[in-house]
Amino acid sequence: MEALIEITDLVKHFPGRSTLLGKTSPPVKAVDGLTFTVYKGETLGLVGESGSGKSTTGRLIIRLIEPTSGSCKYEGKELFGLSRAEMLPYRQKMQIVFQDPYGSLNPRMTVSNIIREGLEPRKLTEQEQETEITRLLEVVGLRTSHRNRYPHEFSGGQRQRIGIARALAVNPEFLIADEPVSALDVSIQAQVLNLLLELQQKLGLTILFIAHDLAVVRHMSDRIAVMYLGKIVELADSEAIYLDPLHPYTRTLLRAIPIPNPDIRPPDTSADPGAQSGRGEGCVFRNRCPHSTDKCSIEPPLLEVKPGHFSACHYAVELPDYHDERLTTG
Amino acid sequence: MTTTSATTPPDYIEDDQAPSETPWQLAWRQLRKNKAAIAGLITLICLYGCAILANFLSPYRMELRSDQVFQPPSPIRFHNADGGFSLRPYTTQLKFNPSDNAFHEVAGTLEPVHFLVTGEPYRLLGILPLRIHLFGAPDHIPFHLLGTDSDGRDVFSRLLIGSQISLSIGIIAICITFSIGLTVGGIAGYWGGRVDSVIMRICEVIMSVPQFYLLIALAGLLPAKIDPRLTFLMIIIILSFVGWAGLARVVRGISLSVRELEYVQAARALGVPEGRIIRRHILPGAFTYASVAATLSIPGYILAESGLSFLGLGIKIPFPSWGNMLSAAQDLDVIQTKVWMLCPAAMIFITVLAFNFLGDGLRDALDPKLRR
Amino acid sequence: MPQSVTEPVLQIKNLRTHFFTDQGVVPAVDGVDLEVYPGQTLGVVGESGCGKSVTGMSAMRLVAPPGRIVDGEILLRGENLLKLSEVEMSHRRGKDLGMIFQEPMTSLDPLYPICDPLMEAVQAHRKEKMPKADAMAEAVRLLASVGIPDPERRARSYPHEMSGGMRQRIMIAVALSCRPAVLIADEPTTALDVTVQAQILSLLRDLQSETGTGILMITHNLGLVAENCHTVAVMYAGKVVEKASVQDIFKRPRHPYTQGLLRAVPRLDHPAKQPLPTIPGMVPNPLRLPVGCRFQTRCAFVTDRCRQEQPPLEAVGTGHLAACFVQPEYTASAPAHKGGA
Repeated sequence: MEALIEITDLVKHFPGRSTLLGKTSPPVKAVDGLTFTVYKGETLGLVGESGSGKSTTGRLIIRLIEPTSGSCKYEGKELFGLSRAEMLPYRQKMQIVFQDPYGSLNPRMTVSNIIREGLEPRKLTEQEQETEITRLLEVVGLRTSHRNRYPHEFSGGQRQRIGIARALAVNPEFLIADEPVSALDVSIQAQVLNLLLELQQKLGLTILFIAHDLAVVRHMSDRIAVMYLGKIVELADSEAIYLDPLHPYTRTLLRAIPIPNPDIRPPDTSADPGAQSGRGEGCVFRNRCPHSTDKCSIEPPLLEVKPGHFSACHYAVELPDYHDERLTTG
Repeated sequence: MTTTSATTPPDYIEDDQAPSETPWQLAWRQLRKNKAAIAGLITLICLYGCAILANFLSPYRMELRSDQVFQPPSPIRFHNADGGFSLRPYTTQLKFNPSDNAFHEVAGTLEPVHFLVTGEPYRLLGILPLRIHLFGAPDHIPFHLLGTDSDGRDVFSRLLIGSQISLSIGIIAICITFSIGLTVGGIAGYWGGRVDSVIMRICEVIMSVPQFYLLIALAGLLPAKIDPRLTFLMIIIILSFVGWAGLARVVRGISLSVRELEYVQAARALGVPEGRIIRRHILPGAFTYASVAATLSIPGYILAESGLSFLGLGIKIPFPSWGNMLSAAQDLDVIQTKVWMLCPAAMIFITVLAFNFLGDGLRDALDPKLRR
Repeated sequence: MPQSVTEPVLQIKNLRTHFFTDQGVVPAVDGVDLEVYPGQTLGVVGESGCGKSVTGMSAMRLVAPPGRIVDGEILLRGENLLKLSEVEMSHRRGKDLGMIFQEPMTSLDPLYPICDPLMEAVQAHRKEKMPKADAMAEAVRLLASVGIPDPERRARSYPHEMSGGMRQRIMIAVALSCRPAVLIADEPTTALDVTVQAQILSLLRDLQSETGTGILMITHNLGLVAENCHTVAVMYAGKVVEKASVQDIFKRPRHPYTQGLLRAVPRLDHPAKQPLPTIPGMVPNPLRLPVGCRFQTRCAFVTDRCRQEQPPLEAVGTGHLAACFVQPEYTASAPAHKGGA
């Protein structure tokens, strides 16, 4: 498989806030040393809870925020450090779809003007622009007669389609979908997920799919990276992630997902320690981990434990076999 | 606890027939529903209309003195000398009687008020030379709709001419502060960092000086005998100098938050040049909210001008402004027995209230709920 | 389970809550019947705008204008809450009816330590004044009961010092402080991370089995319904379209909307990267609801009768009600859409 994006040691620390007395709180390590590759044509899922740094990672790649350190190569070409002008051709190749269907569209612009903003760099004639807008609206399943309406006249799902149309306007190869369905209702969510699957097939898109819902990520992705407090703790094929998770955090996450089957009683999670603020030395999951030992005070690297299956746990191979009876019954 | 977002139904767009509504139409529709705001708007239109037409509406020249000092409002009668009903108002002469220290109607002086009469020449809006007035005094007797002041000048006429100064001062001052505030606040908010810190500290210094003291100190520097038009200009400059800092802070806050909105992020991801992002996304977003802040701060300028003129530091007599007219109504005797002298206070009250109603209404109509 | 002999503790009968907006009347809740049994959980599911939250607010009589309850009865142990004065009703809130909201970040006053709302709650519904020390002891006990570690120290900390999950635990402690007969939980975990959600719900289940509180759980998450509810009511455009035991809802749903919802959820136990069966179209405009069945525009089984008559909520099995003339059999894959609209 051919790599499209290669991330190496990506770090983003947000500076600590200084207080009145001049004390500075420690920097927030939003993203703390990520290394991963996105292959051409695949969907890589990025899953994690709030504060895991998954959204920050997406914005770093498309350079909406500047990294503290690290490298991001697009087809072998380093993106970090490029000037605005040098970055411009890559903005035509990468696009982002946002979570909030209300905040991501300018309320004062019509649908066609919103999409036109994405067409501008392509230097089309007026006529070509109009044709292209019509085509994009059809691609995302919106009525072309709605082109002169304003965002507030659309429902959440439709607005998310407008956001997708804007992203597609530049003919991107790589799409970052940052929680694209988490603000939508179940039936509308399915429509948008289907649209993304269909677009990927039709246009051969490579997608970085960021979400907190493991069931949605699993549905969309070929491979999944599980993030916790700024680090990738596990990375594997999506089947392997939920059938054979090799990191205790992934297991905690899987157990917490409610399954829509009333025959399955929820597992007892009361023993799981709650999220701890702050982390000490060593493994990020150490404070919550039922398997942690003294060894965990040394930070475990993300290692390939099985072919294509990476885990950042000292005990990845020694963990008891994982068996989720909830997935086999019913 | 009682609010829930789930009670506002999501929007729907299944029918093509429904006409498309621009955000401005939506805001206007919201505003129209707000009765107080509409009342405020209509009041302001009337007030400013009267100020523009002040010369036409006023029967006397503002500085014209008569010997009728502190005359109460002339009586208006809707019957003629025979006692029969008449649509044309009649008035009678009032004469001061020193024995009981009061004005009394003079019998047999009932005269009709004339409309669209030719009187003192003036220039409408400063250009159109005219002599016609809406109404004028009857042939032999004075007609003071709101009485006269301590120098026998017509309060009604002075109120109208004074409104030109009092009302325009707020608008011009806000135009100046708004441009300064929008630029300075926009720069601070958009660039952030050190620029932001420096600008905001300057704003805080200006805002932490007691405002009225600063106004008085600056106004005190004005030479006593200068062209009243220059005084007017200087007062506006003083007011703007004191006022821009507050607005700059508001604008900075707005542009900080607009900058983080996802649609601005989306434009940056598309590679839209910064200049175009500011012009297309940030300024229009900030402008609507800042204009609400501006509307709500106009009353402050009107009050400040009144305050200065009241203290004799602003517009000087014989030029009228609502503030210096009020200074004639300082002592208890005037307030108790010459109630008509409080008309300027009523006008200030109405104007300030109208601006506040309109500003509140605008804020509701332009609420971010617009995005829903 | 729902057909047990016990009487429902909370019974909502023919509830209508309408919103009188400038554009017209929105029948947000339009003739809803629900029963909550002691010690059991009734799940109310549906998409945004279906009226599930308004139903919960109506049961608390907390509907804000322009909304108004126009018809129906809300019976708490047989007593109609809609007949009570506002003062009497405020005594019922907290004491007999508790409520927890979606947003744990804004439900607590940031200016007071967290023991404050708890002490207020335990003191509120007492005739004689409770000594402060006793109230504090009770607050600490409540914090311990919802699994807050080190409750004595935590009682004096402020909301901003606590995580979302901790705050929601505190809200649960406040809501359950007077052992209410009924707890209304409106999307109690939607704002929380999935691991925290699992803990909060397991806590709620434990507290319920301890106290016998009846829970009305409003949610859009079908997984949570399956794991936490005994009976389920599915709402669509202001009406209950199907009501049954949780087993029947998930295994033998008879309403096309319920079936569509179940199929539309991505599941770990289904093949990945396959198109999900969707419900086409979107919710009808509540100002222009269609004559007949409200789901007709999105239904694959629509008939002429559905376009003329509103199907009543009728028994289709023991304790199983559905409002559909067709009642298609449920298959896990989607039916071919006949092009209803």
